[in-house]
Amino acid sequence: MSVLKTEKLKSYYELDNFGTKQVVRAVDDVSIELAENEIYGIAGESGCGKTTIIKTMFGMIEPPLRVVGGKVLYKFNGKLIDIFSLNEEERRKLKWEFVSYIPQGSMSVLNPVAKIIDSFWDFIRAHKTNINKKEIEASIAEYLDALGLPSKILIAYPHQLSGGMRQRVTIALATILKPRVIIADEPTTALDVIAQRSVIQLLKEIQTSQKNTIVMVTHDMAVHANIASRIAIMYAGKIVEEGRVEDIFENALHPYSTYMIRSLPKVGDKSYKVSAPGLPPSLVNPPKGCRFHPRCERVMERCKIHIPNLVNINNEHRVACFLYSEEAEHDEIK
Amino acid sequence: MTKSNSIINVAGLTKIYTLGNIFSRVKISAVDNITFDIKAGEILTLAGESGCGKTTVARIILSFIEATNGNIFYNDKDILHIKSRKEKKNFKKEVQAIFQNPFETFNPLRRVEDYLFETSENYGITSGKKEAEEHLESVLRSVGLTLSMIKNKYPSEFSGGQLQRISIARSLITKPLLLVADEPVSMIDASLRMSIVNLFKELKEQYGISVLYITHDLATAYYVSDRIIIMFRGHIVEAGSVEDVLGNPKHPYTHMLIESIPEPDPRKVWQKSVDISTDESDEYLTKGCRFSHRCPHFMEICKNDVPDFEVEGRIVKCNLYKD
Repeated sequence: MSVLKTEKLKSYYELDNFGTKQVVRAVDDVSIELAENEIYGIAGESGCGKTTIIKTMFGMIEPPLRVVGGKVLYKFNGKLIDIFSLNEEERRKLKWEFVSYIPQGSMSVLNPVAKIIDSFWDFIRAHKTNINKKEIEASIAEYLDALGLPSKILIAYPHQLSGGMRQRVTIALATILKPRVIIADEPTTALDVIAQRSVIQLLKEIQTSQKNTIVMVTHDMAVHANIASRIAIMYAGKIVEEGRVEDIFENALHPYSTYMIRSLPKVGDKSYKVSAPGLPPSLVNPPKGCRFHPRCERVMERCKIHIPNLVNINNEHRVACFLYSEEAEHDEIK
Repeated sequence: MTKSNSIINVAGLTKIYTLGNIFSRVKISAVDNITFDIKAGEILTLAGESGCGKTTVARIILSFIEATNGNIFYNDKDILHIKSRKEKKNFKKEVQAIFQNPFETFNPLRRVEDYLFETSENYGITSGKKEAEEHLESVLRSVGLTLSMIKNKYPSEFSGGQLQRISIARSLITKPLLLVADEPVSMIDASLRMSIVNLFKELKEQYGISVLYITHDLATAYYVSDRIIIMFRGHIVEAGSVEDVLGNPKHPYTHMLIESIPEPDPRKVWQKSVDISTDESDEYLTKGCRFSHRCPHFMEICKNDVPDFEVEGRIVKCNLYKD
């Protein structure tokens, strides 16, 4: 049962650089499908388009970002609806109640001059009508208690909380209306290991009890290993590999993914690790053919001209590489 | 700790910050009476979470901030109290810094090569353009770049990984004995991170340069370093070889820290839950062991100052190892 789907999604940044037009192809022809009750991780380096794809999924499109093609479909009340076909009011209804967003910097979400309880109250009041403040406050305290957060933080201001606590409060705020889909953008970045662990734990607990879908973006592969059930590896605006977490970590197929997995340092392992050679490409002027071919050690002639299609190899394990399938994208030569 | 093969000896270093207004002042010791040494030709990691004081230690060594108390001996001279300009300059020449964000290291409006030429001239390493070019070429080669690759370019034209290499190259110009690297790879893309970490290993092996590697990332710390110091709220809680400390931790805090590292292996996901502190400043003000609020082995004596104990070749600041 899919709950969220993108179809050939293309979102580009259209920049005007002193008169010259530049197009950054941050998300280039991405089709993914998320099932109900799963945690889906999107991994990739900075600038690969992973944040842009979830921003587009959440309908947060602001210039210079533009959706050039494709669709984002949500399964809402049994029907698949395109988020871009909705009007302002319908979209507002969809957001937060059906799909919510956990941003990276928790300081910019919580109102710095309001107590935590007031942030919660403002948030709920905007979505529910005919509510009683006393009852709502009691239910907020109950919800925080269920998540294992001390209720004394409700009367604190954001700056009085530590980074890890603030991030957990933000997660509580984003999930209090029990959304079916939670989109999380690097929720653990900039946190210490112990705080990071508590945030991951919290997300997992929420997912287990509410049985919803989490889409999580982070560059940290170790975090994905701990939380995700499926992972997509993104490179230069495209998904190059997708599969169940065990398949990706134990049997990565795409040469880029193997570099990503093999170069991960581990405590207790001093064996020599190498990084992928070369540099991440510019998305303004990406290499022709397979985006990874200039850095790939198994490059073939074909890779320099054609873009490989993301093909199902076996058992939901998809990879975009000519080593595994000859299938190429149609609109390839640009 | 023999003094002969260590290049820096830090003794009783303390840094106190005063917070609050004139009516209510709180003194927080960000670094509280710590002692350690850096040996010649080793990579020493200073690890801990944010607010543990690791960056403060680095900044004091680099003399960006002043220590409240304590000494740092370099070649038997206390660098915190040297007056002569010449000696100061010599110290700065031999101890170089690498920072977290390479884009903040360089002025965006100046070409990066200018920094390299300037460093070379200012420290009197080379005289004349031709000699400088030769020296810079060899320095850049040791980090995998060439002078022609960086000629006439501004910082924005490089990727983070490249710029961090240039920043390491710049620090090598003065032929330093010690590099102080504060979170040098945390801003670098995952696919390039290991190449920077490997660079430190190469510099150590080929040129015998010592590195003080400051990080919260224990996985790269294990990979790159010889010894590790774990700090918590201004105290050194455990110090020893990286295999001992991370492979078989003794201090309850080190235990918790290592357990919290996410393993890049989906078959080893966490089972237990973890306690995080609700108030940082309380822990700074705690008398005795600052971890005692969260420690599963808390005893009454932990409220008094905890001495350092030597356990299996490492130092542990914990009363569990009293005998």
